[in-house]
Amino acid sequence: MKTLFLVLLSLALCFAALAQTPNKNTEKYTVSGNIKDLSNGEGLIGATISVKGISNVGTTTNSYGFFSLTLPKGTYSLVVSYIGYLNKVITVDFSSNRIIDDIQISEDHKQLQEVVVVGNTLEEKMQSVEMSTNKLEISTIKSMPALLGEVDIVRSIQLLPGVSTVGEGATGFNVRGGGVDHNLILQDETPVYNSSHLFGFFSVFNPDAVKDVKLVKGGIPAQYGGRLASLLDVRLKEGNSKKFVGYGGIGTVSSRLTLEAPIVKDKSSFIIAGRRTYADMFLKLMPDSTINQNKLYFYDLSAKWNYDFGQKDRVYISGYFGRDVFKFSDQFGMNWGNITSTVRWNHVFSPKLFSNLTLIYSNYDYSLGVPSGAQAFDWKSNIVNYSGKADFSYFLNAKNTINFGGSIIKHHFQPGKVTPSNSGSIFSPYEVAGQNALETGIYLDNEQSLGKKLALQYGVRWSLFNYMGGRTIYDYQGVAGQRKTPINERNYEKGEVVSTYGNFEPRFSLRYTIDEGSAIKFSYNRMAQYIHLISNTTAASPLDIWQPTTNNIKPELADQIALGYFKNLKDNTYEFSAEAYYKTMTNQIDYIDGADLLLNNHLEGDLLFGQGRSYGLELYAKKNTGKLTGWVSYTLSKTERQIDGINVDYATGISNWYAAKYDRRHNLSAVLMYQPSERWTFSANFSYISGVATTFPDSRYEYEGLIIPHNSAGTRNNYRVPAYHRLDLSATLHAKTKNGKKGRGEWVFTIYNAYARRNPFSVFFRQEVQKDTPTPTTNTQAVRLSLFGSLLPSVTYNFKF
Amino acid sequence: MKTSFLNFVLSILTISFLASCEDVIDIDLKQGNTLLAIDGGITTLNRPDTIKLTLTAPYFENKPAPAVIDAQVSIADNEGNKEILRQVSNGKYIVGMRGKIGNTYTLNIKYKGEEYEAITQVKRVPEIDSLVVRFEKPSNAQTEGYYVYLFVPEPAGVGDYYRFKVYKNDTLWNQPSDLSIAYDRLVDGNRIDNLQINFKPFHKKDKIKVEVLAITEDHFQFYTEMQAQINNGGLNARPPANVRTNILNKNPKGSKAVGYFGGAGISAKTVIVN
Repeated sequence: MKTLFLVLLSLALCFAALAQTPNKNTEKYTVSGNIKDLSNGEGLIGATISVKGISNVGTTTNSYGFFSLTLPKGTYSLVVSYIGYLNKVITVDFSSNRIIDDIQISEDHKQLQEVVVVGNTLEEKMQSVEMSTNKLEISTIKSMPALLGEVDIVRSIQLLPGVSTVGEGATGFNVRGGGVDHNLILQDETPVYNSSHLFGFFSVFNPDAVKDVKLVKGGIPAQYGGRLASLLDVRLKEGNSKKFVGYGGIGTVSSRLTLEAPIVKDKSSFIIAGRRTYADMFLKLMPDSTINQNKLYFYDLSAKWNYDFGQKDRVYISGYFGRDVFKFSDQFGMNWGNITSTVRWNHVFSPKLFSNLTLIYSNYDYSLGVPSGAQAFDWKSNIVNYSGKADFSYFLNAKNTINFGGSIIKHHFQPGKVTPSNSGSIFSPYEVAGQNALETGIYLDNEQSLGKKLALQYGVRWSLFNYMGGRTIYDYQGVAGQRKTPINERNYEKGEVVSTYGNFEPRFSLRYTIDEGSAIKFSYNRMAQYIHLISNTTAASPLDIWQPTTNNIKPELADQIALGYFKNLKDNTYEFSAEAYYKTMTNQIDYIDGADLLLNNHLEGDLLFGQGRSYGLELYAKKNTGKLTGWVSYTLSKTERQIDGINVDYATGISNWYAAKYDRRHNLSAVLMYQPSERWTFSANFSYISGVATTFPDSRYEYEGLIIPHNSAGTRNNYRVPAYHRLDLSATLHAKTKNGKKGRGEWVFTIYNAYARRNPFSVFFRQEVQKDTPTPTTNTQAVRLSLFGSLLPSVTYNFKF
Repeated sequence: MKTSFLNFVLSILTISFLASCEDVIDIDLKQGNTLLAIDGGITTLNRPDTIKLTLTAPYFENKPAPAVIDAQVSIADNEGNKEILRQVSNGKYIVGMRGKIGNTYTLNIKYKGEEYEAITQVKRVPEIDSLVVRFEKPSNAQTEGYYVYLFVPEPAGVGDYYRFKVYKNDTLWNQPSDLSIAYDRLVDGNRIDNLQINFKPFHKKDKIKVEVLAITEDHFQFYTEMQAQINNGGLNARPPANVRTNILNKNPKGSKAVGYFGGAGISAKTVIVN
C-alpha cells in the first residue's frame, strides 16, 4: 500500500512538472464537445479533429464521441473527419474555455463508388501511440461472407493478425498465444463471460446493434485490466435521436429486428434489438416423434436508452438478455444465458475534464436437468457480478492527456447445485460451496507528445484481489500430476478475507514518427488476471467453470513487449504494418488427467500450474478505398506451455515445454471486397492455418475386451492435425436507388467453405464398432471429424423501414 | 452422469444441426515401446478370476494382443495367504483364492527381468433387491416393449464406486458405449430404484443378468479415463491421454506397465423376460 502511494505520488509530481513547462508566453484555451452523425445523432468514436494549417496538432474523440482540444488564443478552422464521412470544416474561437454545440457530420454515400481520400482518420494511426490495435468497421464485418449468413463479430476478428481459434465450433478466440479466457470482452463496458451461442458456433453480439468494434492485443492502456491477452471493446448504438427507424433481416439460421427512435428529439433516444433462431421450428415439421419434440434455439435482446441533459451530462441505461435453450424430447433439457444491466453517466466537469461513471450488474447462469424417471434432477449454476467504475480524462494541455480512475467488482460464483426433481429420483440434494471475491483496481496514465516525432503513453494499474470467506477453506497437499488431498480444513465467515493478492501493472507505449507516412511503435505491458476458465471441452460448453484466484490458485500474470513498423502509402489508400511480440505468462492453469471438474468441492486439488510463452511476427496490408478493398494478414508464431505434472520426461521427472493446442505456426487470412456497381458487392475470405497440436497414440492394449490407445513416450501434443484452409464467398444485391431514395431491401447470398474442404476439427482414435453385436472388434481406426463436410450455402434478406 | 449427457448433447448437435462428417483416415504413427499390459483382478464371485497378461502393440495392428505366457505371477492377501498363479491359455492366469470383502490383495509379476507389483482392495457391495420387467407403451423416448429396472439400496457413507455389467443371454454387453460406472456423491445412502437397464426393448424369454461391482476409487478413476478414451467423437473429442495404471515396476527406472489389477465385491441378479 505504501509503495503504491509513493508510485502514485511520484507519477503525480511528474505530471505536475509537465504541466508547468508549456504556455510560457501565450494564453491557451480549451474547447470541447461531441461529434455526431448528422443522420441519426450517434456519437462517433475515434473521429479526428485537426487544425487547418497546423500539422501535428489535433485530437480524436473518445468512446463516447467526446473531444477536448487546447490551443493558443485565436480563431481556428477545425477539420472534422471520420472514415466514410464527409469532412467538415468549422470555425471555432479559442478565447475562453468552453463546451461547444455538437458537431454533426454526414456519411459520404459516394465513397464506395470512387476513390476518395479518407480524411485524416488513417493518419491518426500514424499519430496515435496505440499499436497492436485493429478497428473493424461494422459495415466491413457485414460485407464479409458469414457462416450460414449469420454476421458474426468474433468470427470476423479471427481474420485479423495475431488472432486464431482452435476450430470452427470452438468458443471465442486466441490472441497472441493467450487462452480464450484471456480476452477481456466488453459490451458497452460490461464484461461478457460466455461470448458464444449454440456451443460456440455464433457469438452473442447482434451485429445490427453494434456501432464499433476494437481489438487491442498489446500496449493495453492502464484503464483496462483483469485479463492477460487482449481487450475486445464492443460499443453498441445509442439509438436514432432524429427519427424512427426499423431494420432487420431474415436469415437461414435466425431473424433479427431492430427499432430505434427518439424520445425527445436530439436529447433522448432508445434502441431495442432482438434475434432468434428458428431451426427448432423446422424440427416440428419432422414426422419422427423422437425428433420433432426436440428444441434447440437461442435468442438475445438488447435495449438501450439515453438522455442528454445538456452539454455536461448524459445518461445511458442498457440491458442485455440472451438465452440458449436445448431440449431433447422429454429426457433432457439445458438452457443458459447472460443477463446484464448497465447504467452509465458521462459528466463533463469542465472542457478539460471528462468523466464516466458505470454501474454494472451481470448474471450468467445455466441449468440442466432430466425432468422424469429415476434419474430426474435439476442442476443450477451461476456467476453474479456487481461492479462500479469511474474513469476520468483530464485534457491537461495540447501535449498531455491524463487518464485516471478506479473500479471495483464483487464476484459471486455458484459452481453447481443439484436437486432431485421428483420424489422417485435416486439423487440427494448436493451443492458445491459458492465462492466470493472482490476485485479492485486503480490506474493513472498520461498520453504525452514530445515534439512532432515522439509521443508516449505511460501509466500504471494497481490491482488487488481478495478471496472472501463464507465457506470452508482447505489447503491441498500432494504431488503435481496427481489428485491432491485437502488438509487444514477451516471456516471463514462471510466478509472475512481468505487471501489477498496485489499487483502493479506498468504500461508503456511509444510512437516515433519517421516521416508523414511511417512510424515506429513500441509497447510493454504487464497484465494480471484473477479469474480463470477451467474447461475440458473445445466447444463452448455452458458447463465451463470460472474459478477465482484462491489461497491455492495464484493470479496469472503476463508480460508482453511489442515492436511495430507502420506505413501508409498513396494518400492512405494502402496501409501496411509489421509487428513482432514476445510474451511470457506465469501461473497458467491446467488440470490432471481424469480431473473431476463438475460438482467437485475439491476442484483445486485437481489443478496443475505452470507457465507459458509466445512470440510471433504479424504482417498486415490493407487497402482502404476504391472499388476493391480488403486486407491480407499473415502471422508466424509459436506458443508453448510448461505445466508441472504434464509432459513429464519418464527418465528425469522434468515437465518439459510443449506446443499449446492453439499454437498455430502459420496463419494467413485474406479478406477482399469488390463493389463494381452501386447494386452489387462481392466479397471473399480465405484463411490458411497450421493444424492444431494434438497427442496421438503410438500403441494400444486390451482391457476387458476393449482397446485403449497408449502413448508410451508420454509426450503431450506430439503431432499436428492437418492444416486448415477455407474459402468463403458472398454477393450482396443492394436495393435500387429511385429518385434519389434508397430502397428498403437487400439480398445476401453466401457460400461458406466454397471448395468443400473437409477441414479437421479433430482427429481421434477409436475401436471400430459393429452394430448389433454385443462384443467389439479388434480393429482400431483414426477418424477425422469435419464440422462442415460440404459447402454451406445460405440466403439472407435484410430490410429497412 | 454429467459428462456423458454433455457428450450426448454435443453429438446430437453435431449430427443433426450441421453437415458434419467423420472420415476414417490413414495416419503414419510412430511405433512405441512394447509394454506389459495387465487385465484382471480378484472378486467375491464364486468362479475363478483370471489375470490376463498381454503386450502392447502398434496402434493399427488389428489383431488380438500378443499373449505373455512365460511370466511368474503370484497373489497374496493381507492375511498372509499367497499363491502362484497357473497360466492356462493365451496369457490367462487363474486365481485360486476368492476375494474377501475388506481384504487387500497384492499381485506380483516377474517378467523379462522386471518385477511388477499392484495392490487393490475388495470393497463392500450392496445386494441387488430385484430386477423388475415392465412392458412399456411407446413414448417420445423409446419404442414399445420390455424394459428391465434395477432396484438396489446404496449403503450410507460417501466413497462407494461402482461398475455395472449387463449380460443378455449370457453375453456381456461390451461395446465401448456399454461401459457404465457410477459413484455415490449424489446418491449416498439412497435407494436406487427403477434404474432403467435397457433403452432398446428386450424380447420374451431373454435372460438378463445384472452385476453390480463395488470397485476402488482409483479403479473408478481408471474407468473414467478409459471411458473418455474409448468413446471419442463429436465436438467433444479429446486427444488421447494415457489412462492411469496401478501396476508399478519395483525399479522406478524400469520398463512401465499398463492396465489394471482391480478388486471387486460383486452382487448379481438374473431375470427372464416373460
